[in-house]
Amino acid sequence: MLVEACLRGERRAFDELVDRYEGPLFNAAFRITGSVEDAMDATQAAFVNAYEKLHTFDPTYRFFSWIYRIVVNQALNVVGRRRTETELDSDTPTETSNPEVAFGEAEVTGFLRQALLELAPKYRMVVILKHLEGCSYREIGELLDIPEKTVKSRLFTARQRMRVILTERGFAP
Amino acid sequence: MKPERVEELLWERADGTITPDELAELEAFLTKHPESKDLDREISRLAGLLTPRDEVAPPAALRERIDRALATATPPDQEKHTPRAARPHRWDDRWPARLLPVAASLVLGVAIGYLLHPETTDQIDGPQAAGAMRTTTATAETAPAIVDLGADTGRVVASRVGTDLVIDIGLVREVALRLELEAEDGEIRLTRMIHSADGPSETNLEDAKLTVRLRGPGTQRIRVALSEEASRVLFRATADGTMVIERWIE
Repeated sequence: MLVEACLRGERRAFDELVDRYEGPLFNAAFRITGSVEDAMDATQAAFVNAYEKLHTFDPTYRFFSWIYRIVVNQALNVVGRRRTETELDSDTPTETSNPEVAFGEAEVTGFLRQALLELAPKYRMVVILKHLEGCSYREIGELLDIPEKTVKSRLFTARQRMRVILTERGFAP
Repeated sequence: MKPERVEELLWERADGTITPDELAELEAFLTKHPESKDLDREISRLAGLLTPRDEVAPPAALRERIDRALATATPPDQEKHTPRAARPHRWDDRWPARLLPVAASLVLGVAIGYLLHPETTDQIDGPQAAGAMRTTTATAETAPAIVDLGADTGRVVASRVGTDLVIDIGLVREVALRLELEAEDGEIRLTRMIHSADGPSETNLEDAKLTVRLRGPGTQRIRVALSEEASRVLFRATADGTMVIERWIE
């Protein structure tokens, strides 16, 4: 197993993991951040983080599930930092009577990311996997190691909260 | 139809997973309850925004950046790694019905033992091994998760006791410890905290996730009650900014 080989000191084994997962992880980060540069930062940080903490990885779980969660969190951190910087620079509109007119595509994406950030990680992850990654319930269950039933219930709660968050921000039909 | 059911069907329709019977049920309801049209529009709109995007090829520069960063990264600590033989199965898969009474007796025995020995902070064992931080993990669902921080630092033990989770912390020097407990489903309720820690302690319970920050030296016992749905809990501990354990407690 590549992880075991890496833990034995075979650094090249980790290169193989990078070969295998660079694309999917970059895409996951890109879908969350919406920026190539930010997605590169998040992917790089995820691989470094995974490498340095490899001894904490439980090999009874899938390596991809583990590193996928790391990259999602890195990407959300990047978005969170950027959001804070933006808020310091300018006032973000929080209310409007006519969202159709007030929000362009960039703002819509920004609001969605903001709503995602406000979800607890376990809910955030299922929304990202379902809607941004296009995974099925079964695939999400396998990735997160939870039953399909749990995927469905988490997704239900997550969507409900997102709807409430977006409505509170004035982004509603 | 309950509001939750309406919302569930609206999302199933948006996902394209609704059955013809459910669709008929939903359409009949929407015709009868025009006030639900707002919810219908809201969900359709949100579903429209949440759409998968096309795959993007990572820029060639990314691989170079990763390689450069890995070249200067700290290699994983092989000594801290404890390989596991097999993944523990879920309780239901592992215990045939005929063994459940035996398991129940064991649980009862543990509970009685626990009642006969009321909580005291001195139950926390002292550090058992010298040297660097060492994480010990167990394969059995009910076995405690033990984080040995080294003889000069202390120890954390998380054990499942019935539907409760008990965490004993013993710190012998100044160290910033952050503990996180997150229920996969259901809820966590903080029921008891006994502490003699000299340093400050801070707890935050939010959305099925309990975070405790404390600073040694001192001892502390935290007890949380888990709701029935909380079949397992993710236990994570960070000492002075370094993650020392992350594992599921079944």
